[in-house]
Amino acid sequence: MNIRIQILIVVITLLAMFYVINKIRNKGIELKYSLVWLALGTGIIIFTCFPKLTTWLAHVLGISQPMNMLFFAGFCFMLPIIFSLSVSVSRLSNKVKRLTQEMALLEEQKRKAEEESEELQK
Amino acid sequence: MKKRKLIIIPAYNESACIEKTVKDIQKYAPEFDYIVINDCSTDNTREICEQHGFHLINLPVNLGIGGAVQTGYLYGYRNGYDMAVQVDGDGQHNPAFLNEMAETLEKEKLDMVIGSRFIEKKGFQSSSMRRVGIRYFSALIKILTGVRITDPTSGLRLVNRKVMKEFAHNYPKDYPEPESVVAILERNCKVKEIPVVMRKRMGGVSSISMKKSVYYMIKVSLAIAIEKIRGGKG
Repeated sequence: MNIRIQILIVVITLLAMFYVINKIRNKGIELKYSLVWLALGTGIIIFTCFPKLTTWLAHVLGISQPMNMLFFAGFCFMLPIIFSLSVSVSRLSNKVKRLTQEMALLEEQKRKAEEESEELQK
Repeated sequence: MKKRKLIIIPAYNESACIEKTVKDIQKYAPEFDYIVINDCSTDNTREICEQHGFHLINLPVNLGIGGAVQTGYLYGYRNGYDMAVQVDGDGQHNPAFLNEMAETLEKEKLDMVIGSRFIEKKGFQSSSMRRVGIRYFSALIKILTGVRITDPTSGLRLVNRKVMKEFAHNYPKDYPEPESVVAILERNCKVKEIPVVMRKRMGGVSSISMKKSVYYMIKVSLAIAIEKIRGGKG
């Protein structure tokens, strides 16, 4: 790999990681969900700084092109992230549903109580 | 002791016929209490209900039919009702059948009574396309549970307190009818259908459009299979 592209990738990855950290700082993303993205950034930096590692790993796994291995590894890394997002969305939507129902029931109770107290006052 | 019975009326943009639906209920099923669940309608369903002093629960955000009906079961369970029945806000369900359903449930000690259009094949029978879909679900349920449900998509269903608790805890979000029947069959509940006559909807639109019907078939089939795998647990 050319040294210029290496530097470029590292710089871009660092910027992206700073962006994520800044998001954690101003509560734009929960630390819990950001860890996996920071891990991804760290991984990219390691593999970019040590291209030999990529070649070696590809050889061990029996993949002839180190580039193919990177694409495949990236793809495999993304799938569980996306799936865990679907899980979070399901859980959230269930919570929102229950909250909405509880709120509606409370509001109905409150209205009923107000009506009853009005009648008592008469 | 007199049984307390609740009618759950889910309503989403039903301004055209909510008034008639509730008035019919007051007239033909006076021994039932009712509660309208306004699923955050964008028309003046809420105003109409308030003007007439109908018993009303307003959902602050739109939950869809499953979430709305579940709110009703939750209300019924917490307020100590012995039975709850769903009557759609669009006027398809005739409240004249409710007493017969309640009597059947009590006399035969059932857990759920479904009002079926297809036993006597009278009244509004739905479009032929839909009937094919309904027959398919009916066959699927028969294969998986061994029970024959002629109208698994019928919303007109009366349940006892046991099922009410179950539904308050766990109810599908969209197109809930077929899979929730399987869920309670898997819990060894007794379900029976009695013949009813349904009307064509007086207003509003069906929640199942042509575009969504493919999604509907796949989703409900899968949901029924999953309920079977769950086997009444969870």
